[in-house]
Amino acid sequence: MQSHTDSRIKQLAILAMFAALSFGIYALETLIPNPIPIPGIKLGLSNIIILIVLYRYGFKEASLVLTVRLLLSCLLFGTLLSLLYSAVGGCLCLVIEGILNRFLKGKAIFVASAFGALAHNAGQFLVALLVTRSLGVLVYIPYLAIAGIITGFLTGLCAFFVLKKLPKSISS
Amino acid sequence: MDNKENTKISENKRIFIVSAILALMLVASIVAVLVLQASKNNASIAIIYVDGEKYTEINLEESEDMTLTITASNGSHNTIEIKDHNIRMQSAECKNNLCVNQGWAKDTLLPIVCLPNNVVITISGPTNNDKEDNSYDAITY
Repeated sequence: MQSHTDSRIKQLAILAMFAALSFGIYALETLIPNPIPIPGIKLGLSNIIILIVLYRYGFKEASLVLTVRLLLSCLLFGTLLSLLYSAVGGCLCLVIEGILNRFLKGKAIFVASAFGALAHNAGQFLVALLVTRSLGVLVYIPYLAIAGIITGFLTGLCAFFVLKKLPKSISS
Repeated sequence: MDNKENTKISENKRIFIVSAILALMLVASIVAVLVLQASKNNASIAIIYVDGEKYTEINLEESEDMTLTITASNGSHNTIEIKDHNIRMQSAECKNNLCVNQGWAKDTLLPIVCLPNNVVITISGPTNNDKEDNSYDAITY
């Protein structure tokens, strides 16, 4: 019983650390100037952490970390509208990655990540369509799809290498 | 043993299937971008949408140089500049100013979009002979 409580506390601390990391990376990423002036293109570095938590701990834990990240980033940087964009994008991304994680049995994390990035874009397009009610934004789909596949693949590779090096002991 | 082998194969198969879908999407997107780039044409009617509703329509060929300040529903201001028959977002009260960085709009391909303040500038016009309605009733300034 004692050890059960211990492991719960340990998990809480570790997940809090991952949430802080994810938010820190997100905050740093906002400082990187965007070289391509197309709205919606970004690296999505904070998703590395979400992926790590998803693959090491599970879907529930990853959604918790994502929720904390979304709320913090909205409070510090965003508006209600930007929360809507990132929440819909982030949740769709996590769901797709969760499904692919199961389907691929934890293998080929970069492929799952690329699909996650695409799902993130799709979610943002949904919100953009609802908000602007203009079909004009749809022309951006192929541009964002290319960017999403590339950045998703790269962040997936990052997560892959981190997961390889990350000691098993912190996830028991 | 045999069972293990089977799951191994199906695992690789799954990775292959998903990767193939991804590759197909990438190729499709690249083709779409190439087609879009090839199909872009210059036009001269700028249509400004605010909160999803048409705010104004400007014929850039006939318009004089001017700036136009729009107050979005969230209280932020966007300034649109028209100069030498070109249109751009001159300034926007938002975090990342992507729409400002998009520069001058001259083709029908990519609209200038300010998502935070929900202001969209699209270019269309007589050279566009698809579903666009060429016989507009009035041009408002």
